[in-house]
Amino acid sequence: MKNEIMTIDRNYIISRLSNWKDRLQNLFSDIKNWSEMIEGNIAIKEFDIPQAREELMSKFDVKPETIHKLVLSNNTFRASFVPMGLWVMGSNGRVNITTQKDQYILVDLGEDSTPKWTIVNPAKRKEQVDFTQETLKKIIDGEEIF
Amino acid sequence: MKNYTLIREAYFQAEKCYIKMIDEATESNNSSEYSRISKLSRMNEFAYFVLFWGQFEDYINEKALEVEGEHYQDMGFMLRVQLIVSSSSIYYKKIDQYYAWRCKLAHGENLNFPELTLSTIFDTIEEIIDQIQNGSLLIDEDFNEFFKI
Repeated sequence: MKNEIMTIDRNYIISRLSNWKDRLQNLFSDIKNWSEMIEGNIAIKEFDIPQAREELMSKFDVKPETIHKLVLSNNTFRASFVPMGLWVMGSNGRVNITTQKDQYILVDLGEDSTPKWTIVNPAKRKEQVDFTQETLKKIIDGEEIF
Repeated sequence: MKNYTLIREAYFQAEKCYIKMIDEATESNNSSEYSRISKLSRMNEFAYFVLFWGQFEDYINEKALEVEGEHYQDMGFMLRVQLIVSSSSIYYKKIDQYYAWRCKLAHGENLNFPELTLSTIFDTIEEIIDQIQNGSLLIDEDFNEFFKI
């Protein structure tokens, strides 16, 4: 998160992790709702994966838990959403998106606690697009999103 | 002409491979492989950050040479930056922060850094270059504020 000036202690780390899980849950809830509105009988599955053990967690002896990975699929399509780090310099958390066709980086560029999930293209300057139902549909349909 | 675009493309091409491998590791429930590839992805980010920064550092050196002549070589990097960028600007603080990361990474002091969102960091560095080329960073922000420029 940007401009962190509050005291960093174990409670703070636990609170940030809880906030990260909440933001992921809300993101995945949006994705599931949007998927149900898109034609194609998309199946939705969630799996537990180990949470990455990040430096601040090690420092304050906070043990990693499991987090969810989301997979959307039908007969012709598959997309996975894998949460990566929470403490990411330059954003407020990252989720990888993988389809058969491409890979995307989804980051939370929101200030404070209001998420602003955005797909970024590191290969091109300032090329980013808000992650919305329309963006998800383009990903599912294999269309260019930038 | 610096190779910013080439470095961006090289980074993302490599990163896409890691994203795919991480997905495969989680799909097969292989937590040790997931952890290993995640660390490799992080190292990849560090490497491309240092590479991109090198291009920026070279650009600053060229500008410092224009301002100070060959004497610039006697100055530390942040002093060279001060020849070009107002030390009260937000961009100066960004450069200072990135330079500190670069030094830690390039000198091997600490590789337990958090991940880097290189798309936004690259964007910021290129924005700083634009501002330098426009000459706007030579003007002190407090001065601007005082005179409502």
